[in-house]
Amino acid sequence: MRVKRLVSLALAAVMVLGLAACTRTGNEKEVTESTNGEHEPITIMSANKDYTGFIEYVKSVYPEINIEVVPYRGANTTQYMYDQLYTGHMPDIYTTTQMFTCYDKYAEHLIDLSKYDFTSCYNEARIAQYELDGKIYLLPTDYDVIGLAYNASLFEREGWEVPTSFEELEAFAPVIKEAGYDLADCATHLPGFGFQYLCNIADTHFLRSIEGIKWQRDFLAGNTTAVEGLSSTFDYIQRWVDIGMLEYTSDDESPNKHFLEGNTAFFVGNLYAWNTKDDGTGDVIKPLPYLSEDGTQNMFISNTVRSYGLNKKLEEPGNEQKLEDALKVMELLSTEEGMTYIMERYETPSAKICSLKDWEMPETSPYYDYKEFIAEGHVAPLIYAGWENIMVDIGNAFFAYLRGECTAMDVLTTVDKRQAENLSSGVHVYATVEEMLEVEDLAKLTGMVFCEAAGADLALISLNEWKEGVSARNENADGIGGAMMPLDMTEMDIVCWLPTGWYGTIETYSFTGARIKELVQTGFDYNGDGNTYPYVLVAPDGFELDDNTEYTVYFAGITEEVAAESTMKDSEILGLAAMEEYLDRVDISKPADIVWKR
Amino acid sequence: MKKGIKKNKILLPILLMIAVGIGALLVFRSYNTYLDELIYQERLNQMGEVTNELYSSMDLLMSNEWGTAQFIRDGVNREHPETVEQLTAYLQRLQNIYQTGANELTPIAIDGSGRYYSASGKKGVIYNIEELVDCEERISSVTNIFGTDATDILFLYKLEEPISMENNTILYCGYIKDFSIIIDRYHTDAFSGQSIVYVMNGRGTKLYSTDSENQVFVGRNIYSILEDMTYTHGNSYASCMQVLEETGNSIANASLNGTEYYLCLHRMEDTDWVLLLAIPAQYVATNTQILVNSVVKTLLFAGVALVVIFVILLVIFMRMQQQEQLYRQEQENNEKLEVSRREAEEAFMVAEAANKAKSTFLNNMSHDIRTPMNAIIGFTNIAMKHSPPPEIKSCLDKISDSSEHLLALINDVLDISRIESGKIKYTPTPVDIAEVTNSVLTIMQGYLSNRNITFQTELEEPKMRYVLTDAVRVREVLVNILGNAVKFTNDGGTITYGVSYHPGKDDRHINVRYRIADTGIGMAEEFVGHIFDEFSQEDHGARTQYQGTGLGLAITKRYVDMMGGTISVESKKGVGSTFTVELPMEITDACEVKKTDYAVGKVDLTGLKVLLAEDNELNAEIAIVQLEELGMKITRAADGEEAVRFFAENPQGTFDLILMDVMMPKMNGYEATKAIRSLQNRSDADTIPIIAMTANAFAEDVQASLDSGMNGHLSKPIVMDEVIKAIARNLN
Repeated sequence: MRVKRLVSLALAAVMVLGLAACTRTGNEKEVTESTNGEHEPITIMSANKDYTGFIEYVKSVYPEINIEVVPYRGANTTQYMYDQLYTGHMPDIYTTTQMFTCYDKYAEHLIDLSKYDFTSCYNEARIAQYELDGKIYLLPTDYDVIGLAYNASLFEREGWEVPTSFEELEAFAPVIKEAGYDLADCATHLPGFGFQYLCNIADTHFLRSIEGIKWQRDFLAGNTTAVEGLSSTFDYIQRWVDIGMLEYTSDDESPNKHFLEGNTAFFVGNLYAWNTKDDGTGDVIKPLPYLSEDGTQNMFISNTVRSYGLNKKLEEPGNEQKLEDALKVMELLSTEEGMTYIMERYETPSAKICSLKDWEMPETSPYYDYKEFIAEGHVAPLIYAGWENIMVDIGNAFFAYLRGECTAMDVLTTVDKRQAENLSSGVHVYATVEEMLEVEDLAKLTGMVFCEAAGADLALISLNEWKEGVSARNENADGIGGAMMPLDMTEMDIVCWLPTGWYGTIETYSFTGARIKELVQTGFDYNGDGNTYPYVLVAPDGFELDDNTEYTVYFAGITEEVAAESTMKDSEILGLAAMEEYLDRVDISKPADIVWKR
Repeated sequence: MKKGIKKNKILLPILLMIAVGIGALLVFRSYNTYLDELIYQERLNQMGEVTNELYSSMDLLMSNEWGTAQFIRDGVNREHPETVEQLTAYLQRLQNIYQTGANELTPIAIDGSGRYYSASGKKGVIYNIEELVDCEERISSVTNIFGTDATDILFLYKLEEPISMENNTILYCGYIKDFSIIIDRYHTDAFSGQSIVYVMNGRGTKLYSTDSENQVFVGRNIYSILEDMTYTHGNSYASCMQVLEETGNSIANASLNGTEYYLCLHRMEDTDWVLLLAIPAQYVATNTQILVNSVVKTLLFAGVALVVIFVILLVIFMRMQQQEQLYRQEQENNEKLEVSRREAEEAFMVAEAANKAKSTFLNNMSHDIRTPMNAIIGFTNIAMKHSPPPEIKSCLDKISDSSEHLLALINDVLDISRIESGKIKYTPTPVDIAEVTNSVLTIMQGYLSNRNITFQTELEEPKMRYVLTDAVRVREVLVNILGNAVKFTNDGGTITYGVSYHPGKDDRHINVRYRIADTGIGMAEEFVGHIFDEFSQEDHGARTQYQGTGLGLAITKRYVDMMGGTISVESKKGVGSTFTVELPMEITDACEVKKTDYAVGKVDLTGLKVLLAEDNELNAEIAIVQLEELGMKITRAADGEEAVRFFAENPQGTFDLILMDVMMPKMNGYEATKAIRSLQNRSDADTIPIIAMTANAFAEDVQASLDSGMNGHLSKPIVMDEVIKAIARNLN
């Protein structure tokens, strides 16, 4: 009894003293996992980037981490990325090609990575460009150095010296022409190219100076005009036009293909080839910076291929495991090995430059000869941010100028006019989307609008999907590219998903009802490898397909074999124009608004 | 109810102690908080003193850097170069001035296109040209002009008047310096050298750190890390930054990954840079902390000691109260006990008296019944020896049977009474167990003499013959059971008597197992459970057929229990019964066993001179007749006094033996014996055998006889065989 009491007292004493120890407890981190122990996949968007190698690499280091690829294959990847950032409708790992000017959206939708150690792995000059008020929302993994290209083998054969300034080029151009070669091929199939050529040349002249940067800020803020700032630059550009370095070439003429035939000295545009032949036995092609007048301000243009951020939703309760996994992925991304998978690209040798601090440019790089030149700072960032809403108009105006349809002053006036409109009323909004329009909704909308425009009975619209083993670059580019996020829909946004892109027209075919049913059944074999993408059959409400009746059909995605079964009829109506016309007429804000009655 | 009180007695101190403990804890906590706040303030004061000194030297350092940049700008202004060569040459001259140690720097000039010119002739474009756009007067930033990575710091002053130089315009002049040279001077030995200095720009981006190898705040932006820390003492990241914004200095206490730090932020003069001095809390005001810790420990110890003392005092107090209560209760109980004791004593005395009366009664009964019984049996035996006619013999036989039955009845009743009153005791003595076992066979022969019953034995030869046991009781048990077997087995039946020896509780003991089985009438199952009850006999019909007291097995069971043994029975009506008796016995040495018995038939008592002291005429007559039939010469004394006188007056050798009754007038047998033994002038007074022959038949009577100086004891009614044996024993 006595012993028992003593024990009771001792226990009570321990309890009392124990209370002191219980008063301070640390917060324990709770990590969630799916009930079956499998880590929930973290998502990343493909957008022409093949992540197969990187995913395998992540899996080799962290077998428990699962990555799921969300497909995108539209005609305006950058705008699609912008829309994702703007609306927050983005995968877990956000990828982008640009640092957009909607700065408040970064903090709203992306995680600040500046507190993580992997941010210190990056070259200060590179990552500093991604700093927003000290925070880092995006990691710039790799970037292209854009410049001119020249046929080095041709120069060697002819014993020509490579010009180091525009003055030298100007003097040398007649020699090339006299030798029977074309001076330059210029890619002009996208309006953005027109804008870029203008800016890139301007970077070597005025735009990259302290005054030029100040002007650019003022112009974007509406405090100055293009006429005021770029007139002298246009005088310089005119000299490029005059010697034949810049000229408009329709895409049908395929300037890339022409240059690779080996009879042209220079190429202006994105070539992605360093030899005129795929097997490397042709002429060697080398890069050349955009040349400044006296050569002292020659510039390459740097363009980030991809930068990566993390969706802020990962910080929400319940996503602890995903966040942990995503951070591990970002850490791997910031290593030299991880970067080799990210920098994978189709041209050989790779011309990409890694943003990591200790990265050494390989001797195989086409830019190796310019290693010091680049290190000395002769690289201007691609001009994009802030110009998004007017760059297409500027590009089109510039091409018109190249075609001789207007003067330099007309271009500058157009630029000022568009910027004034942009600042006063913004860009033209075709629809205010309130509810996400998924790819199926957009397939219905596209089919309905195109059929009405081209007088077709129905449409077969292919959709894109991510398929394991199929490279992102081989995803279905003929169908609906992506979804339409809830925001004001501009032309840039429409092109993101519209199958005809910027310049495609509506083409129709004739097929019987029975054949159409078969095609719906088999799907669209985009790569001819048996991996088919589904068709969505779009027809008016209540429409019933008769096997024996011949129908006029619009196809978003048709194989050559199937096309050969019928005769294609080009309506010559731009798909973009048809869509814009329809959206101006009919309010589409949610999926329920898409109704086809006949 | 008592359990409840007991529970409360345990709970109460526990609850009180918990209450005191919680109270002490609360006091301790609030005191601890107070101390914590005190230490915090002390730490802040100490840090304020140290950091103010550090900040002053840092600000001075930066001021010097800007002074140098200004010097370069003014120099370029004065020089006013017109060509790149002139500019480069002047920068070279400046470089020569600043080329050693902490002063080592690279003077540069920058034109309107962001191109830089250095003393070495190196040219290039600065990557952060955008920053120059915002530069009103001067700017400092991290640069990587001379390498891939940014490790240098740029101090630039804007020229008040741009200098046109060939096709370019020089806008900025200053220098580039390896900041690692500067940052080393930011190191302080205070706080045991454990502080880490971070230099960051106004947005929190880390520029440099004194702890390049093992950085505490990993990551690019220090503010982002500070934002995630856990603040104490009412601080928060926001309040910390607000104070920094308002005063240029801020100190906070926060934890990162479980480590507590003191964070001192300072906005440097002449730049937008911010310094962060991060010191692990354990190195701030270390001595104070040690002192306070020891005080807290002492207090904690004292607190605990106080609680313990309080609890002990409480327990003592409660125990005293409890003891007082117990004392009072004990007193009450004692009083009650005393009353009970007195009552019990009285009851005991009554019981004792009753018992005594009972004993006296029993003794008297025994004596008084045995005396006439002795006469009846004796005279019957005498009559039988005179060859009576058959009718008379038949009557005498019946008288004899009835007398023996009556005697058995009396014996049983007396035995059970004596057992109950504890007068019968188990007295183990050394015996030959085989002999004890076998002795029963003789008795059985008597039992079976007129019966047609097969008697079988299964007697194991013992390995250890000599044991300590009460042979009389063992024999009584066996005879009782065997007697019952004979009684309840009809002619033609079989009785099996077996004995086996088994290991006992240790090497010194054995268990002797007796097994007596018969093919008698057996018992009903329900009766078997009551077989050892007193006066139990299955159905009353048996009582007439099989005479008995119903006490035999009850007595047997008492004897077995007394000897520490067990008795069990298996029986089936109409089939028979099997009794198993198991008795533990201690093994002893053979020499201790006394051979005591004599074969009656071999003793010749002819001519033996016997003095018979017997007051009862009938008993005297019976004894004289039976003794004389054996050839003995009898002299009778009518009482004890006469017996003493006869012995004393007659010469030595007149008597060979004295048979002494006990209960006699004038002088009883005991007194007479003592008188004889005390005779001084008779050498045979001590040696003459005196044997009690009395109706007092109990063990204490035997003892009393021996105590008085007698050599033996015979109980009435007289059994002549026993008389012969007793005489033979005493005459050697």
